Amino acid sequence: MSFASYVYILAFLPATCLGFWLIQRIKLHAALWYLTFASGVFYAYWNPRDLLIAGASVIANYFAAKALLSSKQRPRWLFVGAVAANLLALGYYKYLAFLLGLVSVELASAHSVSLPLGISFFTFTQIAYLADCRAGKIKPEQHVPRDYFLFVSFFPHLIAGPILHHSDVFRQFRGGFRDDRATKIATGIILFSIGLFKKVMIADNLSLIAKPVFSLADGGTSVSSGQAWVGAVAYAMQLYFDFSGYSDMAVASALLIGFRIPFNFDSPYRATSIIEFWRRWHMTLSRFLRDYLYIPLGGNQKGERRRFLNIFTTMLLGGIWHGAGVNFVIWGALHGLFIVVNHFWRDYVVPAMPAAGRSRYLGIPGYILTMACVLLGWVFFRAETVSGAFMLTTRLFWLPQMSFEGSPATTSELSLILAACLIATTLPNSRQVHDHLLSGNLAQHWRIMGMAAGVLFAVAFVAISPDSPFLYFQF
Amino acid sequence: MKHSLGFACGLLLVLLALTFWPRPLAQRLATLHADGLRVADVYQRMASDPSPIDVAFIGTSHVMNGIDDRGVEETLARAGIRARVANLGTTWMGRDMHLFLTRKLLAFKKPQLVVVEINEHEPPYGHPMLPYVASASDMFCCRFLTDMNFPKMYMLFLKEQLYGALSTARPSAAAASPSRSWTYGWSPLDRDWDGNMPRERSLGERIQGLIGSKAREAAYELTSDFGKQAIQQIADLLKSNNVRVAFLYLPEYAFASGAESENLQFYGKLGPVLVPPAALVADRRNWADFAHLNRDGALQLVPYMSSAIADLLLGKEAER
Repeated sequence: MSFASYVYILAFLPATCLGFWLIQRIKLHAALWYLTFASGVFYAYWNPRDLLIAGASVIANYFAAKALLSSKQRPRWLFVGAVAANLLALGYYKYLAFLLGLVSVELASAHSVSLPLGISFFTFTQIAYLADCRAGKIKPEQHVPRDYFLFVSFFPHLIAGPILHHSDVFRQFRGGFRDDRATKIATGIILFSIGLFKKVMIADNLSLIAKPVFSLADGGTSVSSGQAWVGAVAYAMQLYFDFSGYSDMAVASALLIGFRIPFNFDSPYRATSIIEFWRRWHMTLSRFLRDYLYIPLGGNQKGERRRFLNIFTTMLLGGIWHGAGVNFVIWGALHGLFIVVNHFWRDYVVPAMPAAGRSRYLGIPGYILTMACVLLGWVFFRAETVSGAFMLTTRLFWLPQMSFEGSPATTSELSLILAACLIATTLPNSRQVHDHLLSGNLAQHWRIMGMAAGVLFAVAFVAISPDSPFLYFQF
Repeated sequence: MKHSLGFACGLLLVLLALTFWPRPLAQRLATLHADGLRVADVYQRMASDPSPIDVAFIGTSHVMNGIDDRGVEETLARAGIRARVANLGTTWMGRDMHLFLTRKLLAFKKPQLVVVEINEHEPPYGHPMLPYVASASDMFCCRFLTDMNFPKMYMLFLKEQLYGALSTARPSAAAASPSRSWTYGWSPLDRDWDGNMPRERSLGERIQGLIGSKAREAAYELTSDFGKQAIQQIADLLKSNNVRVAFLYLPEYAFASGAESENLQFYGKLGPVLVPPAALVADRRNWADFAHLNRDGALQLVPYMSSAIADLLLGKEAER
């Protein structure tokens, strides 16, 4: 079930929280199994078949990790085999039809299988865990079924992240979640309200502006530069508010139970370089890619050329992780290229500049260039056809192809986009609100914060639409 | 505690503001769900069509498809009674909508007689299109706590209010204006009921199935109170405006030939009850499906309806 649904808000979340609080007073062990069971119900609500696939994956990985930990050598073949099995399963469900489609459309349609929800997320979580087992970061006594099953299946992060690291939650599973429950619940309610409002009132309305532009481009119909800019900016904002709204609700749901899980966003549209953008956007994925892909590839330990190649490869694979399609490959490659150029600029060009002139090249121009790169990437990320993406790109950035005839959007549409841009770039983000609330900095403003949250929640609750899934569910 | 109080206040504030947001009816009708356009048609007949309405039929699709208002009007004219007859039947059931339409009818016209359709079993919920057209007073018009669907309908109402409030606040939002040709009055069905056609059980049959045990019957009595209470309000409203009210028995085929006297008693206390000839409604050839008369059935009903209405109108004249 979706976080932005009546069944989740009115039934599942209250029942799960209440059940957990009551059971953990009697026995923590039973309460954690109860949470695992509730997570299974949450997942099976979409499609019970998917629960079988996810369940098989979790059980198989549990035993693979157990086998790794039971041997002092932690054999490489076992680790490689387990990772390969995970990747094969992911490849079968996510990439097989795409790869066959490169050969023949009929072949692809004959072998198309429906993608189990969240498969990319729980597969990566488990691969990281296996890598940590092999690296000796997990002790055999830590690897118990109760903690492992809950770690992978914990419903707030199961479908679309944040991608958890075992160190994020294992200590909490042993009772570390019991501190300051009242503040965590209050913070959780405020965060959930913010997330729901972001999703239902901002992202869903922005999608109505972005979708027609991309549909036209994908259908081969020419759009004006004005329309292309409106569509691209609307989508950039839609994706941010949709995914960060989802992440806020995930963090809030965990807080309401008593657990803290990491944030995924830190105002990415305030970044003044593409490197900084990736430190603020989908932060748990960036952490995963760095720790389990970039560093194993050699990181920056094998010379400059290799470092740049590793960065590019990591981002390319990050793009492919998002989905099977040429556009995701291009998106990943673009970001790989941008980051390499950014590193080159930062390491070789900036030091050669006079110190006084640096801010001229790193401030506002850096911000504009960063946002242009991000926007270019989102066009490929969103478009369903390569030709549509290229057409939009030329309308956006290629001067000879630019045309501004006609009005690209209504005043209300432009107002919504502008408001979204202002919120994303100027207001405190959810992580900052969360940190202030939990640290007690806003203790004197609880009533006002609560009232504001009540207003946001009520408006968003009324406007919930059952036909509007989160964008990242497709990955 | 402070936080909870603040949260509850914020929540309540929004709910109250949305509930009582003064959204113009024209705007509500313009954003009506496509399935409910007939309501907009009917409203247009009352609000925009300058011709008077002397006799109005209010009810469900049974009335919409089964009452040839023009035919009744012409028959009455031939008998020397000049009265403008309007079929204001709308699709789907829900007495709160009939109360809404009655209020609007009285606001725009001065009818002499309103004929309200009888349901064999009053549905235990409101009309699904009401949240699209209702104001707060319409939503809370009846004993809503006994409406099984009220929470869902109220959420839908709030959603419509929210969209309305937002579009009103947006400067570029075009004011709602009807851009289609209105079709109101009798909507004849030109088909015969294919007896072999599989069908789901009708609402009446489903409700009938519920009534088997005393507990179920009690539950139904409680929930059907919503519809009956709305009927009572319609009758009271009409009477207080010196408009005569009558009730027309026109339910589904399964019940049409055998009206329950207990059911008719309820309506009989509020006004005269019109029961169509048994031979007409018992003949399957007069039905388009299990619930609606076809064109032939509706045309055969015209003489009876005209005669019954003439009696009622003349009775009213006699009273004067």
